[in-house]
Amino acid sequence: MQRIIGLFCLISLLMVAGCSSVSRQQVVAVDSRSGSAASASKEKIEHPVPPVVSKLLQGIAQDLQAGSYRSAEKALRQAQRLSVNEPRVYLYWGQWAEQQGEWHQAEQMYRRAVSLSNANSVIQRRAVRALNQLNSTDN
Amino acid sequence: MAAKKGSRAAAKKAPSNISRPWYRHPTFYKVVAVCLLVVVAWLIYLDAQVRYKFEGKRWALPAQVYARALEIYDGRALNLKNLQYELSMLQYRKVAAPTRPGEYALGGSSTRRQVSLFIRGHSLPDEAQAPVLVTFYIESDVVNGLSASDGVSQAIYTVDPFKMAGIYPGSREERELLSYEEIPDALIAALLATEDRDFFDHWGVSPWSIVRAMWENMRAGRVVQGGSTLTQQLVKNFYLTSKRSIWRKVNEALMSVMLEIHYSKQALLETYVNDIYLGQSGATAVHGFGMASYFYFGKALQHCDTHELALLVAMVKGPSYYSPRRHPQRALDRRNLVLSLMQQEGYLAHPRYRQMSTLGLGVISKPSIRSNQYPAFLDLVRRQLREEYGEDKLRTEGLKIYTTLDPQLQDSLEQASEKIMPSLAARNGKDLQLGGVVTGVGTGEVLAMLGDKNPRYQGFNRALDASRQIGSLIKPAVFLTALMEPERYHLASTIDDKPFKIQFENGDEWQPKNFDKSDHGEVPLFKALSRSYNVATARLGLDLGVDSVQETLRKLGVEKALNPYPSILLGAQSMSPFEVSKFYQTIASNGFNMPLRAIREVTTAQGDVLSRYPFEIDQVVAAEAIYLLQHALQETMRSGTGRSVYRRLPAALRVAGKTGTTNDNRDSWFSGFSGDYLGVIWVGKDDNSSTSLTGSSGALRVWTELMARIPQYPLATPKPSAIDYHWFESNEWAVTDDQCRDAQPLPVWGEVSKLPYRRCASGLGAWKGWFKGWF
Repeated sequence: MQRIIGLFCLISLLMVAGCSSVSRQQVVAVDSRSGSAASASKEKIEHPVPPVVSKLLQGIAQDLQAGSYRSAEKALRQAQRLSVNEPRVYLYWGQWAEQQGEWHQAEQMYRRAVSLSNANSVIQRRAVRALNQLNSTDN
Repeated sequence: MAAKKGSRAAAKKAPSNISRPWYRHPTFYKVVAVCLLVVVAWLIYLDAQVRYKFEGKRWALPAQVYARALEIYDGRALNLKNLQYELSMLQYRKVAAPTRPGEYALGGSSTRRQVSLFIRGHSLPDEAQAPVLVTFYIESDVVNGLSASDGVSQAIYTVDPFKMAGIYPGSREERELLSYEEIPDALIAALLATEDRDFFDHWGVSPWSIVRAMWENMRAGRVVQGGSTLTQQLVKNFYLTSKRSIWRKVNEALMSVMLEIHYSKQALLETYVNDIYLGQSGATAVHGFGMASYFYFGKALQHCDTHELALLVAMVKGPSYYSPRRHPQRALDRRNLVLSLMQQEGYLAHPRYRQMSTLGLGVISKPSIRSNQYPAFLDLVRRQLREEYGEDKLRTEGLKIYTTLDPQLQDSLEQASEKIMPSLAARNGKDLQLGGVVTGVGTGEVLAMLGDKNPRYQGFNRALDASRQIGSLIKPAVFLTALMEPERYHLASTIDDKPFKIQFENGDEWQPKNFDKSDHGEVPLFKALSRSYNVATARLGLDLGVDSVQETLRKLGVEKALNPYPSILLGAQSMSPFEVSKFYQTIASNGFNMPLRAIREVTTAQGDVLSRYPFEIDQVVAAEAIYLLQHALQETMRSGTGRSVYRRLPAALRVAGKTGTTNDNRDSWFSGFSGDYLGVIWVGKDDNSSTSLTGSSGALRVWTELMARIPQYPLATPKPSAIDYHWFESNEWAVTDDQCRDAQPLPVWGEVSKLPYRRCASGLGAWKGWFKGWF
């Protein structure tokens, strides 16, 4: 009986070990500078988003809702300069372009938002949805 | 009767020796009439001249070209040394505690430096920045703790942009135009007190001023006052020459009166202030008080103190003779004279006059007007503008051109070249040359450029015009073509590296060879790229078709004519560093084509926006294919031909890139990127002769030195959802079990179940594989 239980536990352990897998290497996160590094297990390293960019994005969202497109465009250009890989910038830029009737630019901005955001993240889903809506409108 | 008749007849026949007064002579009247006619005609002509020039384009204003404005905000990557470099270019003075615009101070500890910066007021397209004292910290090359002394909370502060160059008319005059309202009152006071006390009362010419000037000069025993009015001086400078002649003096007086008749005092003063010659900067003449304040004090006229304005007025009489840099004592004496005249005329209180007279000249040591420091970049700006604006408009309309140049990056590129090129030239000859371009990965903005190893050289611009064979730099296009067909190729697909030969229809043969002359057998695709195996690449390219590779190059942004032969697969294709940047830009920005821009906006001299160069993108390659390619290019830097970078760069800075070497080592190339910047470097000789350099031993060293000097983020492309990592064993490069010994994980696009699988032979993976077999 003890042997059976022992064998059962061993098999269970081996099954658990066999079912888990690491599909990629551990990646190294760096801090903001090239001179130092820290270990982390994050799948994607992001440029930290400066607080000013988050604030700008809030303002852009409000401007787009209010129809203040000129102000939104100026803020978009600034936000892009400050955080060039932030997907939300391109998501909002796509919305701005749509409002201006610039469909091609809107599509490209949504595509850029998709390419810069984590797979299946909220931002990516929003960008994909916007892209699909744009394409269905075109059709 | 007969006597009367006789006297009348006698009178009629009066002899001609009786003369009449000359002024009654008909000839006299004719002469007078002709003279009057000539005078009137001359006056009409003068009047026309006066009005034509005054109301037309008064000056040919050079275009002003600015570098990008430095933005300061919490979270911004900023290196203190680079910041100080840029502030020194902007003529910001380092002081103990800043009290006025144009000063800064450093404090804090070595790990957390405090910066107090008094930003000068300025205006940019769409925004204006008032003078403000800000304080912030730099810790690990990141800004934090930003605050301002005025209590107003602003998220971003913009430093006035560096004026890097001008595009000059033939006359090479530099000006900063001011409207009448922008002229400081103290300057007007100084001018009137010194040059023309009755300016607002006379009608162009003031005989009383002439008499008074003569009297003052006799009393002083030297020339302390001039008799010409400001209007006369304006006429002399604006219309005539300084040649001394009575004829010129007469014209001057007439034209002065005409100016006074047609135009207001304010308009005349404004023109005078903008026209007056006040110094020389090399071949460039400094005209106008607006430009002179930058030239001598490094700041706008509105920010000059009274004693500084007095010095500028002091130089009106003779900018060379009273030059504060060459003749400081003379300049000081003349300035104090101006101050005393201001005090005498009641513009300056006596105590203030005494205090100001004791002050130094306050002139900056280096003139802020410099000759074109960045000729390669300016060349690009001109080419991009010429189509839209034309040469004449560029040189004469006073346009303001706001560019993308980053002075800190430019300096880093120049320093990298200065450090590395001498050691390369020591082994390869002094005629070794360089071309380099740095762009922003996500924006396509051109941030720095070198057209020659001497950054100030104004001539052949190698960054734009050196059309050189690119060698292995072309290989990413070959491999990308393959990776765009995931059903046929993935990173572990093996390619035969054994030598082969093909024969063309005309009988020519082509036999590609590896750089190390070796045969590496069956190699995985990613290794063929990272180790730059020529044979495997050529075989892959032929399998795909030269046409397909050419199409990929077009998608990536290559516009020039392409070599139609198979040799293009190994880089028998000429491009300039700028053209290479275009196609690597698409790779670095995840498959998005974006035009490389050197200009952000163009405005009129008054600041109205004429053109804005928007950000445009076009996704031309699937994100999955680019992700795979970037992985292989990172492998190049980790274990391939670019691995030497990590002797200088930290291991945590992930970068991707490709070396390039052409036949007989005629060209040494490197193109590589991080999360922020793409740099393309070419090293070689203009006469196309051989060197001892490969891409790794030449261009890569310059690139590495550049990247080591600039704070930046590592490459971190988000993994597309259609990509998954799987382990591949290193014998046959089949899929194997996770964590297998001698295996490595690679990203795969598509269905992995169709790939050959081989059970792991040893290690933890072997156990996993055994268990997987049960299921």
